Amino acid sequence: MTDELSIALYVLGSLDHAERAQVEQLLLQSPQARGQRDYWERRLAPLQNVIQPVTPPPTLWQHIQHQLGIAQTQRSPRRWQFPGLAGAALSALLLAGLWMFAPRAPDVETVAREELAFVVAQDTYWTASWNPEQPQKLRLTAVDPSGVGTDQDHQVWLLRPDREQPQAIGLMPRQPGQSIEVSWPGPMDNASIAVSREPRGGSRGEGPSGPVVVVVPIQRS
Amino acid sequence: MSHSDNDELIELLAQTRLGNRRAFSQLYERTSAHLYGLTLRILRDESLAQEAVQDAYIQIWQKAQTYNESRGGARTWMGSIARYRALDLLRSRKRLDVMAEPPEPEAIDPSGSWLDQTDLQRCWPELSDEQRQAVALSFINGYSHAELAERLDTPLGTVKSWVRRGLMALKACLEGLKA
Repeated sequence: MTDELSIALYVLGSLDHAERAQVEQLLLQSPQARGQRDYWERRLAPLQNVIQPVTPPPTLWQHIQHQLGIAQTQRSPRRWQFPGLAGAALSALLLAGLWMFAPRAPDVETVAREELAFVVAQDTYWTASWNPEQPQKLRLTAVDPSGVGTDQDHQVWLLRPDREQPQAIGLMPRQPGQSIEVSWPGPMDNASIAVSREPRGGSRGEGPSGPVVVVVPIQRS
Repeated sequence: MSHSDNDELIELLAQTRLGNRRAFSQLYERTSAHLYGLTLRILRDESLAQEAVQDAYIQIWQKAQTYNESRGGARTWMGSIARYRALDLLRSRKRLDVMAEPPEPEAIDPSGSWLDQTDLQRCWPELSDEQRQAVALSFINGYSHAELAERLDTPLGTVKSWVRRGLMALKACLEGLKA
């Protein structure tokens, strides 16, 4: 059997266990073989459409999250939250023009927990929280700022729907466990907070000068 | 799959690559029924089919960066991952007792209308009825040659010939379309 036929039969699903293993070995070694696999996958793909979708049980998603260690916990209802990921990505795109530079795709995530938002950017993270009794004070706490370079600071910005320019709120603390309180207008609809990586001391300009590492929309829950 | 559907799935894959859990969740919501349908059809066992889907999404989370459009649309790529995992489970477990189940209706519409205006549909008439049946059942149900021979009550050599000649005919036609 030629390699090409073996690969076509592999994609088709006709091979036995040992033959499949042989082809998989070939695929690891040969770019040409991978090209042939891609060819047959593309060409036979319409056959997938014959099969009716079947909704899996809800527990399956929970198992997947658990196995990957990415299950999200939300312990109690909260008035305000940072909804996080998809919104963050979308906001980053929408704000590209406003921020006057092309923001990198956010490689970040947030997990809302009670009144806290965990702001994670690469190998650093902080929490941002506020007390509903004093909503004009935002508390920023460095949980693990070890990924912040000695010549860097991370600057927090408020993106308000009623203002064209981002509003500087403050710099993230640099020492583990350190907290600072900064003034901000408080949570508002259609607003976001963003964090940019800046030279030590923060942006020298009116807006962010370094890459935006996270944009977190704020919304009423 | 529409262009917009594919574009959106590709964007979700790109975000998943960056560790974006929300995007991964949306990807799951959009595609899990497709993947579960594929694996259930091959494995005929809910527990095993769920295992295959679970393994597939773990691979998707871990290997989202390996997706490229040379492997077809995003849904196709994810479907292939799930199919291969289902086939691995099936072959490693010798199909369990699937063959003992009562046969289900397996007639495939010979017109290929379900292939939805694709190159494959255009080339489908180039295959004989037997070749079409053999190729489609192999892909959809994950039948080995021996299982296909048993299902179709046809000698093994004949079934192998249908599959191989069917693939060759498809390739000749597809290459002709490209030229």
